[in-house]
Amino acid sequence: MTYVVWRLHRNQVYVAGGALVALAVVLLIGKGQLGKDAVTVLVYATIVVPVLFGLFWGAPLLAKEFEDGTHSLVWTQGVTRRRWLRSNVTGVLLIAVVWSAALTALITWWSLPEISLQLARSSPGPFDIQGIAPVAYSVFAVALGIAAGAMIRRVLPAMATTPAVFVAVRVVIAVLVRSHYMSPVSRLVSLAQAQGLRPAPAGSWLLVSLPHTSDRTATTTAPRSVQWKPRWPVGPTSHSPALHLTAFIS
Amino acid sequence: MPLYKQLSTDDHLEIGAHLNRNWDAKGARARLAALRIPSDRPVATLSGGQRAQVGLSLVLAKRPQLLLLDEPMAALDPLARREFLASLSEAVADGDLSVIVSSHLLHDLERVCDHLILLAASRIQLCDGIDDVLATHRVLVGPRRSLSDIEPSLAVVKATQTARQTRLIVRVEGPILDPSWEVDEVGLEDIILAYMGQDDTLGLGSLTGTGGVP
Repeated sequence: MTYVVWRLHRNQVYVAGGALVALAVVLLIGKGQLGKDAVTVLVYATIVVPVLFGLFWGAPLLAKEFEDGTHSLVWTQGVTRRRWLRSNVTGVLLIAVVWSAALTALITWWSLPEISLQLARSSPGPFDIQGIAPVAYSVFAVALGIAAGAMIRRVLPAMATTPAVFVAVRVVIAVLVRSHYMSPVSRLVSLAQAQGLRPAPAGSWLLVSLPHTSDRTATTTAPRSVQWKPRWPVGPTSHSPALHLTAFIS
Repeated sequence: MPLYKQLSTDDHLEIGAHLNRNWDAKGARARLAALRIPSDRPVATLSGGQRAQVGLSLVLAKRPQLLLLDEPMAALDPLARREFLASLSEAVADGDLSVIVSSHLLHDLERVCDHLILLAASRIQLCDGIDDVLATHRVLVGPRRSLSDIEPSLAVVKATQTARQTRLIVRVEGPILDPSWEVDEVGLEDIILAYMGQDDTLGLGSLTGTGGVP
């Protein structure tokens, strides 16, 4: 069965492997000149990789069998349909996990000295291309593609549905859901301090940053307070206009 | 038979070998080599007849005892059809294999089949060895007469009446006594068409000669 999975998907592995090696070479060369050039664009572009897995590996897995009729060939052999499905799904998911793990390791390594990426490790964008997030997205996209192919049974419609659903789910999670996973930490800092200080520790995802007065009516002058203060309880002890920060500390 | 278009014949055989415990790889390779079907090209580049042969080889490599083929030759040109049937007959002759094949290509059936089951309107109209079918059916041509006058040993399958002549395709169940009939042998195709043309689906025994009369 392993041979069969390999034989059916090896071209995809070759293509993906080649692309990974090419990316690694580009990043190695671009390692010295960070932050401002095409390499950064390329790094951010890897955010689409999970969608591509879903498109080209997930969606056709079953849809192509149905469309070409080859399911009636392979599902009448000496292995059960269940076993065939299990092996193929596992195989493709495994390839996606290995590939995206290699990719994310590469990107994470590359962005270590990259101040902008490291500073905002949790915010959307940098978060989506480092750490384990790309691996999870890849698994999700491939599973989504397989499910779309199984239900729609046609390659192109399944390929069209996969990214649409994937992006929709991702946007909903990133915009509406993710900021509620943990209670954010709120800080109140004087405007004078805020000029010179980093507003939040490195790696934080800054959700909100807005000026307000202690009585919450107007922003005025004359800041004097110096300390980072917890947002709650502010109460009467805080008498100064301040910058109110809400952030995830990673 | 659907095949993976991008994969070669060898790939298909290899996949089959990995998916089946009982797999006759040597036999399949020998069969395809004898037909000079390229083993390393994607099957999409093969002709329809070659693809059918690849499909047949894949099926036969599983060493089946009974093979059901549903219109296996429908898409093939006459030459490929002939070769396909030759391969099939060879396989049947070689081993412990029975084949049930459905087909509209009546002439081909006559060449390779031993037994005929004729279905029309979801009913079995005829079920017999082909030699027996040929031996028991005759076409009778004679002066026009009423169908009720026909001797009971003749089961009329199809009757065609013109102003002066009556033409019958009958199943003969006894000697033909009436000397006014001109009796002739009838081909399998005509017999089958005669059965297909009749709308009486009550069964063979109740054929009364009304079926097919214009």
